[in-house]
Amino acid sequence: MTDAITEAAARWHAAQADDAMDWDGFTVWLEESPAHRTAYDAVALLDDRIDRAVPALRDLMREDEPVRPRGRLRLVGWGAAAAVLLVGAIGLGTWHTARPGAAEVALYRAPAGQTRAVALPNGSRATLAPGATLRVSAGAQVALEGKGYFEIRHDPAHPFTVTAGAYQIRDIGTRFELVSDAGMLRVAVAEGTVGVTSRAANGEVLVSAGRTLTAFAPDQFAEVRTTPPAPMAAWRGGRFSYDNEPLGLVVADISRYVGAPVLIDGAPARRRFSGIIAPGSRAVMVRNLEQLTGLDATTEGDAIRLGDRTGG
Amino acid sequence: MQIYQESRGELLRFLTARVGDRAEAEDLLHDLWLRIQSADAGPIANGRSYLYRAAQNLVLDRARARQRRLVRETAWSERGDDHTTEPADPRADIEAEIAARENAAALAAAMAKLPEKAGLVFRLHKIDGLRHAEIAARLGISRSGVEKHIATAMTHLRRALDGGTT
Repeated sequence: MTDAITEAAARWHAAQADDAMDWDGFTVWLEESPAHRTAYDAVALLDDRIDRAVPALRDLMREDEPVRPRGRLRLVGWGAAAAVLLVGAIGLGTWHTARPGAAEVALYRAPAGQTRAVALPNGSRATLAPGATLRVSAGAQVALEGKGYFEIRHDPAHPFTVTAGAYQIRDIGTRFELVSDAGMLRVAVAEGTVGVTSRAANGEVLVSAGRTLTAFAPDQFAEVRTTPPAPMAAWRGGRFSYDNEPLGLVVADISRYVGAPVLIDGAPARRRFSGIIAPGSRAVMVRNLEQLTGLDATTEGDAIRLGDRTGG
Repeated sequence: MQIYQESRGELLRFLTARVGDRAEAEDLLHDLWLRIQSADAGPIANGRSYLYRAAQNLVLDRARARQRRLVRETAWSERGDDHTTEPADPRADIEAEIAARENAAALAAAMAKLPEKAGLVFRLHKIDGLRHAEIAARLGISRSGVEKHIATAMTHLRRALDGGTT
């Protein structure tokens, strides 16, 4: 396989991020020679391999060089962001620690459009999706707002628990992805097992590797199904891929990613959504979601609200 | 789904070219149809690009699933079914962790040797998570310039990592 063919394949691959992608031209190019297909397969799989390695790559590069200040936080004029800042302020005021370097409370926030790697006590790690917030307080209590991926080193003496709204997720030595918003929860387990409890319901549900729990409300427990291969951690590669997720969680993802409010509630928030949304500006992502769901977007101040055409 | 019906022919042609097998393409198209139906979506006004991306993802899912099945079959069969509370075999975790770290190290080493501009664009995109348009604006180049740099980087990485498990 020549470099020229590989480079052409890579050009087609890179162009797909754009809505103006020439799919007909790509089809014709693929049809020209089986070597084109082979080259494209190799590029797509390499890209996928890189995407999956991105959190580890970020860690490596962080060790290599001090992180450049990014200065891309856009927090002004957004209620939810203000609330996050408030949490930060409370954290500093109430739990301020006297010992530098041994903070008992830490607040981590991934800025819009970027993920963030967080080293947790006892060697565990979290990767926050854009806009997600993680609070670590005394006794290694961890609370997540938004979406995060956890790699937990199991320690029977110090079991690891994440709180997400009305839910608690207890680790039994595992890797899992967690997203919660507006009373909904989704836990996808890559390895090991987690136990999920809700403040509003009795009992613990165990979710094992390859399975996903989706809860639509804290008092109605939730389905556990086989995890489809794509959605797991796809967001870490900058794609938004969903399989039967509550629309409320999808909209919350987009809102956090773009760093500006997108709202949905009521029945539409509990509808299921499957599909792929390309990263883009808020207007573009909302328009794509409108097309895919048949919902209508209206502007409310600096927010965009998605609702039913019938007014529901 | 109207857009699906309208695009069905061209999607089948695309998928056939993409996987090189008409029967598999038809199978994928059926999967795509199921995926769209279960999406509980209303009418799609301009979903052509979405359908192609979804088709691309299905092809990639299959390729990935093929790879994973080989790796995981052994490890998972030892872990029992859904109701077990047994922790995962810690050795398998450690092995996976080591493999992931080696993979990342190999990628990082290859990325460090990229041509300067291509390496910069590639890092801004993959590591810093910037979109093509943002990179174009930041570096004062066109979007197609950004795509070209990313393609150059991928070509170099492909050559550097050839013989790896791509």
